[in-house]
Formats: sequence, C-alpha cells, structure tokens
Amino acid sequence: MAKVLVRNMHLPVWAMLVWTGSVAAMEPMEDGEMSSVRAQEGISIGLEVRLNTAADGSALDGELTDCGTPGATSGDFTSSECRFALNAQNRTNEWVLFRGVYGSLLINDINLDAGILGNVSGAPSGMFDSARFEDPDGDCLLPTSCDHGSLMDEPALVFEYPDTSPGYSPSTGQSSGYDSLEVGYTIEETRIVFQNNGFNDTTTDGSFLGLEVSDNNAARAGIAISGQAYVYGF
Amino acid sequence: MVRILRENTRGWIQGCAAACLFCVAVTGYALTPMDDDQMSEVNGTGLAVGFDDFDFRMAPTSFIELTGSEPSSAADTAGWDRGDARYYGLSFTDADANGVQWFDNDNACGNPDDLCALGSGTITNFAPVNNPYVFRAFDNPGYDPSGTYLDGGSTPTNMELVGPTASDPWRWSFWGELQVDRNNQDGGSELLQSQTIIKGKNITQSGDPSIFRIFQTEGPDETFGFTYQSALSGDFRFSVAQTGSSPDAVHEVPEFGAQEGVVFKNVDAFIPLGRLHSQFFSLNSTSANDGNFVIELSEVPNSPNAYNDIYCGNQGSACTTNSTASDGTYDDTFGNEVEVISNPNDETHGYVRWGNFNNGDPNSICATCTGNGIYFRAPANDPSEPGGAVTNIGVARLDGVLIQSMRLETLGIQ
Repeated sequence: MAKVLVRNMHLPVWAMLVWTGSVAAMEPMEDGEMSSVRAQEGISIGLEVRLNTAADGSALDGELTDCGTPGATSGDFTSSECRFALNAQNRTNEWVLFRGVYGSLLINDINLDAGILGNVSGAPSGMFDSARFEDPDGDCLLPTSCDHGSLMDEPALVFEYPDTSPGYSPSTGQSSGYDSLEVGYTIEETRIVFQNNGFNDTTTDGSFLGLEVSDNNAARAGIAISGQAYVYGF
Repeated sequence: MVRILRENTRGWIQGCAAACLFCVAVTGYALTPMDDDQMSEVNGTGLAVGFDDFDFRMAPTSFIELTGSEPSSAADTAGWDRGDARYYGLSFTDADANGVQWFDNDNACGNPDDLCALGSGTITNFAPVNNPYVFRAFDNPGYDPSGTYLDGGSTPTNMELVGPTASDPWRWSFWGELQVDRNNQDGGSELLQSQTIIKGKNITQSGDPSIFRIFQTEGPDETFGFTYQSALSGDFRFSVAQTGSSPDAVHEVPEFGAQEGVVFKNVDAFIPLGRLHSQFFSLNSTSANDGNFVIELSEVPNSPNAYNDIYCGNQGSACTTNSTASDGTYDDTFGNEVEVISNPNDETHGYVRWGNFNNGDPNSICATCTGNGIYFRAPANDPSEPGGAVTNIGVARLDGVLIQSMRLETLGIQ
C-alpha cells in the first residue's frame, strides 16, 4: 500500500520547497515491517445506537414529554416530542408525521475485513450475469471486462457475522443465542398533516398505523445472522 | 471514479503549487469541470452487495407489530375495535431437507416436501457475489407521459435496486398473531395464530429479478415517484392448525401441525407496476385535506408514443394487431371480432401461475398428490402422523396482467 502511494503521488513544487526533509521520510515498507501492522485480519466492531431510549431500551418518558406513554387520552401521542416528519417535493404543507418514535440498535459482534471475490465458497460461474454490470447502452462498467473470471479478481469490503447456534425452549418460553443484532423500534402514531411546519403539529390527533419491533421477553428483538456480505463498487 | 480522482487531484495540486509560487491565478491549472465525454468514461454508478453462506433468523419470540389506533366515535358506535397484528420470527434460511419448527429447534417436521418453517443451515448463494443485489444510478431512457422520448442528457436520473437474476432457493418464513376479537365479545381465543412459509427465490422461473426504482416524476406535477417489479417463484404454504401440545395462547410460540394447510406448489409470479418514465406510483393528498391520503399508480397516458411503448414495446409506431375474424388464428366461438395485439410487451405484462402447466396434463392433476398445483392438507388425526388427507384442486394461472390505473385512498382517518 505504501509503495503505491509514493510512486503515484504528484508532489507540488511549493511542498518540495518547504517540506524537503519530509520527502525522504516517505519510503516503502518492507514485508517484514508490514507483517507487524495490526488489524491485518480485519477488525471486530460493536455498535450501539439509541434514539430517545434509556440503556435498557425503554422510552425516555419523564425526560421527554410523552415519548412512549399515551397522553390523557389512551393511545393519544399528539403531544409527543419524539417525532420526525417527511415532506416530498411539490407537496407543500403536506407532511407524513411520525409521533412517539423511539428505538435502539445493538450490533454485538461483526467482523470487517477486505477480501477478493474469488475467495467466496459459492458464486459458480454459471450464475454470473454481465447485464448487472452494464450501463443502459450495454457498455461494461467493470474495470477490466464483464466476465466471471475478471470479476473474481476484484477486491471487496467484507462484513462477516460469526456462525451462531440460536434456539428456543418451550419450557421456559425464552429464546437464546439470537444476539448478532438486537433491534427495538417503536412508532406509536403515523398520520398526514396539512399545514405549514406540519412536523410540529401537536393539535391534530389520529393515526393510520403504528409499528413496534420488540421481543416478548425484552425491549429489543433478537436476530441471529451468519455469513458474509461482500460490498464492492463498479 | 479512479480517473476523476487522479485528474482532479493532479490539477488541484498543480494549481496550488502554481498559485503559491507566482501568487497569481493560473487558470490552466485550476479546477475545471469534466465534459460529457470525460464523464462517460467514469464508472462509480453502481454498488454491489453479495451474500455468501448467509442466513437471518429473528427469534421466535421477537416480533414486528403493526399497531392499530383507537377507533373513531362513529367506528366505535358501529362496533369496531382496535386490532393489532404481530409477525414473529422473520427468517431467511436454507431450503435444504431436514427443516425444523419454531416450537423447538430439535423438533423436525418431516420430509423435505413438507415446507418446514426453518432450514437447518445457511444459504450458499443467497445473492452470489457474481450476481449480487446492485444499487445503481442510471439515466434509463423512456417515454414521458406526453410521449416525448427521453434519452441522453434530457433523461432524469433514477436510482434502482435490482435483485439477483440467479440464486439458490431459500426459505422465507414467519408466524403471525392477529387479534380478531380484542374485547372477547363473543368468547373464543381472541386471536388467530398462523405460519407463512415460502421456499423459492425472488426471481421468476425465466430469470426476471425484482426491481425497485425511485425518481422525480415527469409531467405537470413533478414529485417523488417510484416503480416496482415483483418477481417470485417457488412453493408457498399457509397453515393454522396446532398440535395438542401447543400452548395456543397469546404471545406464546405455537407448535403447528407438520403438514397441515393450504399449499401452492410451483408458483411463478411476475408483477410489473409502472413504466419508466410514463407510468409510476406517487403519493398525494385527498381533496378534503382531512388526514387521509392517496397512493396512486398513474394512468397509462393517453399519448400514442407512451401507450404503444407500454402495450407492445414499439418506439414511435402503432402496435401491430390481429383480427380474430380475418386471420382465423383465434377461436371465434362467441362471434366477436376482436383486435388483439400481436406482440404484447413482456416487460409490462405480468402473470401469476399457481402450479406448473408443463408438468403432465394440467387437466388431469392427481386429486391426492402433493407434487404440483394447489392442495389442502387436513391436520393429522393421529398425532404421530405428519398430516391428514390431501385434496388437490389442480393448477391455475393469470396471464397478460397490465394495470391501467390504480388508486388507493384511505377513508378512515378522522
């Protein structure tokens, strides 16, 4: 990596004038030096994202008004401050308003690495479809040519979930091992509001749909994922 | 992408160097826009995501719930109650033999043809890396609603998510819980529990993929629009009967009968909804502005260029038609002389086929067989047996589907 960088770099003249001592420092690393670099086998990532929720996944009631608890009228989240809204082009003063919104996402263990597409266990050549990598005029968008062999030489970003062994016990009513991904998400109310700054409406009640993602025994749904996702551009 | 980076980086660096040395603007080294020819050589229009040895299993106790709202006073007076629906254990698993049930991961459900709820392993080629999901930004050509052909620089960009055109079959399943009598006014269990299982792929048998496109619509009311092409092939099972050992209680994982239910074998479905850039979905308000809304698939435009393209794929010319009376190729039993399009556009005409019509005589499907067509299987009388009697009602198909216009308007929000 370092060797390529030095050879392709076009250093500006002014930089050479004021930075002459530093040019000598840009030298390619030997294989032995590279072997000592950490993270060659990829990195493992844990991620937690919370939206209007406490650490246990419950809604921030009391700190934000009516985030996940109905108001005076059962099922009425009109005054909830946990909200967002969507507005499309040329639909002035028409808002899709979501109220009582809270949730959290936990990624407990995912490995991030780089790899070559040819390393996968599947993807037999008979499944290759060149049309997926062509523009509307039929021109190939891959760096070399649109055939299976050339594609297999391409590098990709690899997201890998370790194998899991999840299960469910009828005697306890508990699931176990579904911990690759934990998701809790609630939208108490969704409705259309017709007014300027409709996202801020606190007077119009009613809803056509709500959504909840959860578990019978916990605030977050448990999901077990195995396998690899290869991400690449063309 | 690489070309942009190199050329622009070099221009920027050289420009900075020249400016620093001479303290004047040197336009020859300044940032300059790339022309169309240069841009046409640039890639970076697509992002590919392939899934290898993959499976996705939501816990059988974890759910996605669609929640209703309290009924309006008028609806309440009419006896309506709020209803909620939960979908548990959404899973994508392998379609190989030796599947298991939700109730217990050691609880095998019988032979491979029984459409068990869960596979026991991963899907080798869920979306093969050489035929992956692709997310592309393209200027796909097409007719706008007025009949003008959009191509080259005048074409609006659309973003499209395109599914694979080849993959291994896989198992898509969930079990559901629907409140059918929230206040238990008439007694009973208040809920209906069911399971839905599809073993197949989101690709038609002829290799058409699923495609979702978003774009700015053309015409007098430009806004956000989208089209969707649905593709599915495989086997489908829906069942409700539970075994004697199942808890049969709200929020508790049921044990379904191993084979009971209605089964559709060898389904092949292709439903294209919309056509770039002449027919599309958009969202709109109602005239009353009362909180209700409209999801609309716009009409096939009354413009010859646009509708000839939609009906028969002709660019700038009328569709060729045959008359049943004149060419004698059609049965004229009813005495009607009907003009029919000789070569309908396969990209805009959908179909749904329940059963394989080429697997033996479609008029002589075995009434108790399970290999093809639509059949109902009764629950097992003996709990030790996997399933009861089979009644196969044969195969069916719907072909040549083109939705001319569709409008969904909600009426209940007050």
